[in-house]
Amino acid sequence: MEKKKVTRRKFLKVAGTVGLWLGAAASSLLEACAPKPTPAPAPPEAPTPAPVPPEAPTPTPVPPTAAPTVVPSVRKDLVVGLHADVPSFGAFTKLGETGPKVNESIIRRLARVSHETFQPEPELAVEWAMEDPTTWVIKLREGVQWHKGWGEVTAEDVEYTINYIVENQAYKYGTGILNVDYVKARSKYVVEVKLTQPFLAFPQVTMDHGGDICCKKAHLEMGEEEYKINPIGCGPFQFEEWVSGSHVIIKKFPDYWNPDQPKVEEVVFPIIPDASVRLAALEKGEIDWMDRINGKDIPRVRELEGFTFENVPGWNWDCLAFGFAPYIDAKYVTEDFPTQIKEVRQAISYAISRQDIIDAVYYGEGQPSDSPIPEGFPGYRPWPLKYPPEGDLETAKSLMAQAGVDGFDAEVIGLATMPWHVQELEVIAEQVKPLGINLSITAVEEGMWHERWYEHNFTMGMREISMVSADTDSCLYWFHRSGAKHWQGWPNAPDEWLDGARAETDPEKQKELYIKITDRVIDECPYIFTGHVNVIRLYDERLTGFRPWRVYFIMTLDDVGWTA
Amino acid sequence: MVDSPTHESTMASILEVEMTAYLLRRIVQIPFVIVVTSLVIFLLIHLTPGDPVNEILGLHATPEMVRVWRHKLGLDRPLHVQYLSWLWKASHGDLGQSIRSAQPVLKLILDRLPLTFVLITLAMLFSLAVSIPAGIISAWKCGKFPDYAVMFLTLIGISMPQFGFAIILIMVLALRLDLLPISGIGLVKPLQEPWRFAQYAIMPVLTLGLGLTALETRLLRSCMLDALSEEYIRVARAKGLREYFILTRHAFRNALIPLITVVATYYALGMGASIIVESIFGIPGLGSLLIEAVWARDIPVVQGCTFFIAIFFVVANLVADILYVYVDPRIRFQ
Amino acid sequence: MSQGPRLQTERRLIGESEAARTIREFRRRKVAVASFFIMVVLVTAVILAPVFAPDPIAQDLKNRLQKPSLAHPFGTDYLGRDLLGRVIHGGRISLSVGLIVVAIAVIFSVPIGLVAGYFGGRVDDLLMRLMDALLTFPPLLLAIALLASLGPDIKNAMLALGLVRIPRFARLVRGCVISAKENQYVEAARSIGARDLRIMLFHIWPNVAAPLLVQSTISFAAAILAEAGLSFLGLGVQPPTPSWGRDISEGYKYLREAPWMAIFPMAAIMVSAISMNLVGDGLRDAMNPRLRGR
Repeated sequence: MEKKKVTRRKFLKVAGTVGLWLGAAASSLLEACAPKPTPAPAPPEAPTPAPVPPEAPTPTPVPPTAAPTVVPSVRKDLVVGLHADVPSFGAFTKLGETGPKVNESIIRRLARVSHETFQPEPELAVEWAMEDPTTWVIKLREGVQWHKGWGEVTAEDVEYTINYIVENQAYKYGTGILNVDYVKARSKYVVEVKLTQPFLAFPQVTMDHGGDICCKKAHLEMGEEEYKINPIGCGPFQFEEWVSGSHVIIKKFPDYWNPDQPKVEEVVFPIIPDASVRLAALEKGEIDWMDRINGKDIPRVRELEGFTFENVPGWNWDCLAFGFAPYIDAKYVTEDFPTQIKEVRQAISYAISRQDIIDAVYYGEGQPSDSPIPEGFPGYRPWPLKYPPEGDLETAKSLMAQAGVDGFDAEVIGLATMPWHVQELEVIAEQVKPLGINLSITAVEEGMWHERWYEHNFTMGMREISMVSADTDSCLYWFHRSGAKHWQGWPNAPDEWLDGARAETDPEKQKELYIKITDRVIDECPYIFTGHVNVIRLYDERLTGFRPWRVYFIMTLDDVGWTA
Repeated sequence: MVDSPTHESTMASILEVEMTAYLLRRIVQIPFVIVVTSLVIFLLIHLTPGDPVNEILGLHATPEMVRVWRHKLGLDRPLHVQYLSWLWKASHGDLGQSIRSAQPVLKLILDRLPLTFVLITLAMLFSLAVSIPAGIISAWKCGKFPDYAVMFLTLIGISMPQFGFAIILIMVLALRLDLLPISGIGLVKPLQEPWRFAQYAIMPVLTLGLGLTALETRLLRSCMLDALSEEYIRVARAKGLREYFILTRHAFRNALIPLITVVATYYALGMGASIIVESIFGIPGLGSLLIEAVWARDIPVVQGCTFFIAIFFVVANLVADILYVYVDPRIRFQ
Repeated sequence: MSQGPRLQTERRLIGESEAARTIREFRRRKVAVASFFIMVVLVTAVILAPVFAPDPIAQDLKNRLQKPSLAHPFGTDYLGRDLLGRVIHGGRISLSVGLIVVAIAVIFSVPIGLVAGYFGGRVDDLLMRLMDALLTFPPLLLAIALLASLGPDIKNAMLALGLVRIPRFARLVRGCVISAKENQYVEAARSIGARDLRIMLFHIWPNVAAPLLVQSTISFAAAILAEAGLSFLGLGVQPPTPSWGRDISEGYKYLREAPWMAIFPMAAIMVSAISMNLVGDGLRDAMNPRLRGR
């Protein structure tokens, strides 16, 4: 029909114009994007350091690191499977668990504590000494270059990094950078750190955990935001690419000070959240290394042909935490709530069978333990200190009777992204039922976790604690001292002892204090420790050079290479 | 006489004006929809307990530091100021930066959006490829075995949860038969390795397309049956037209409009609904970006994703409207 | 040669009410009747769960991941819990969520649709705009945002799921009301001066009730699936309460070792959804005088 034809043609014209208009709008929007990963900024000119007369510090004998036998790697690529996306890079932000796995290869620390010998090894710092109880002097390695042409690592960078953390109370403040009064660069390679109190564990805590130095020049010129997506380090690998949710790529840094490291040239970190899928990828050869294996797969992969099953006792533990009134919001805990009674908490600690938990949730890969101090640290005593691993229901019941509590209902929170905790809570809930205690479990996701845990909004909670520094202080201080990071209101906190132990310069006296602290913790149960979980990794058996770190969030690739 | 030339051309131009006006009205509605959607999500996420600053700061941070960082991020401004400032920047193409990772939001989204879009489109094409023949056969052989078979299958299709279907596919194709990989699609470049990409994409595409296929088939079938029982079909049959002709030309036309609606709705909702499938197959797409951002209270990213989802919604509906008119010019512009 | 659909003229026994005729037509459809009985059995089993079903929460750590056997007809899960018990108890949650979600949708949509359809004009425009605004939301996105802000709780999940269904129901009601308005009875009632409310209740409502019922059954099935999806993401019921969706997400982790953990809850979801859909289909056919074989 005539009418129809005219209509249609005209209509298409209109539609075409509209379409072009939309297309133009869309393409201008798209222009504003950069679909490729952010490229590295152009490096500035090399700075000329101001000449400063050097001061030699009193040398401290430092145990020499055994030089690794230098065998080149047969292959130059490596694929490491991550279980979660990296939240961010950058020297001053939270890196989560997967961030450090990548980051440790990009940055270097002043010193690094070996998880085998428990001694700090030189890395960026070659010598360090305690001049007087509150002054530490560090001598840096010479000739270490920053990535991408940002110059040489000097004492100024150390000064800048530590001062920044203190001034901005940035991420490592309070855990790695403690009690710092000021930092001063004495010469190009010598730094002086002045503390507010003596701190024997300075090398382990500040030089290791707090010791990742950032490049002053790059940070100032790039700005914090740019630095976070384009980290500049001085390690054997340099940052190459990060596609959020998909993968991270790092490449060998050609000007690294040790010509024998690294052995591989490129490392790709694909992000595969599902553990079974990750395992399948490993078995197929799509990735070469993984961790965070599902407990149920462990019996099968222990004997898996062609793979190395690495399990080391972990410097971590699972614990059930109680909130105390009035620190915790009254909505969750009041002063007359049963969990405020010491005997009730002890009863729970007696009622649970830690062995069953380790077997059920971790398939035996762990050690039931009621003590906060893992083996090898000052103050360690073999477990069980008080509570038998299989549990003791009779004692538990009599303690409840002693407290005059028949039973009660309580809510326990656990982190949803750690389903093994939720499983553990399910087991615990079942184990305390005979006491008349009904636990309702709420699995909260990250954002909510912050809101509930750190804003004092919970009755009971389960968390996993990893020691960030190889020092007893880091497994006691932040949890058991009033006002400290993870303190949840325990009124009887042994503050004096904790402060004393930290500042104590005599190791024997320190050990005594730690024992006293532990005894009180075991007795009063502000936390119920269930056990140390083994850190398990699985990788292609042709790979060597992995160091058996006792925590999940450290990974060094310096000497990793292929033998076949 | 009604058929005089002047009358016809007048009618044509009136129609043209109506059309243009209608289209313009629809286009004007686009920003309205985007604003409403983003506003509601903005309010919701701000009402959510949990502070995005926690993702950046150490836990030892004092209230003072929290205050400083909130100020830096602009989180202490009144809500309407925050929203309007976001809206202004967004309309100029600046979606801000992720609080958590500092990556530009636009980059984050554009890194992940194409994958989701490709998978959804593939699922849609697959569903059409299956549902059109199935619907036609079912209507043609109404009451006989093929019809019952199709009806049975589609019944299963609308009664099975998406993740259930995904699990069955995984169990059979990936675990038992070891034919297909389950996850890792993020690392495959579709243009460079199309075959490998296809292997990773088959299961997610089937899963995404399942419900849609079943729905489309049923819809097609019932619309065609409706049409087939109309008078004019009997007339056409009486005139001796071939069955095939009747089916495809006349009966099928009747189904086109609802079909377009279903597909448009699928696109409109699909970008937001792929979350479950992405989570099962480890696909780094828009859905997983969104849900991670919600968990981390990463407000700029949530807003950015919502922005894109809303855009998809209106564009899909607009395209559907244009197609309606193209298919059936009898439609009046209301 | 295609047969085309069978046409049937409306058959009505003398003095029979609309409802009775519908029921009679429904009973003629064997499939729909069978599905109805399946639903009844399911609902009864679920209501009587505390009485006879095995404890879904009792753990038996020595007997984890057991295959289905006489002692545990559906097998056991990763903590040794009986799956039959979990599926039946899980049904309480899933089916009641489906019911409440539909109830929320109906309760809100009926007044909206009635008012919009009956009064028309500006009111209609405004209400339908509101419904459109609600429709633009990707339902899952809204549910996640709501649950993140209110907490992952079964009540909030029901609220979120119900909310996004309101527009569809409201449109349906409105459509029925509009077509019913044209009805002779309404005109007659108006002409003798009956009040609006009376007209709405007695003349319009019966026309609305039928399609509403059909839509409800279909929506019920969809709500079960949606709740399962939310639980799968961890946003619904919290452990250790059994829920079909959550159990499937746990079972997914053990797919290789213990596929029955995922299979049985999934079968339960499908049986419920299929039978509900078939009941809805049967109802729709029964109410429609011309059999279309839909």
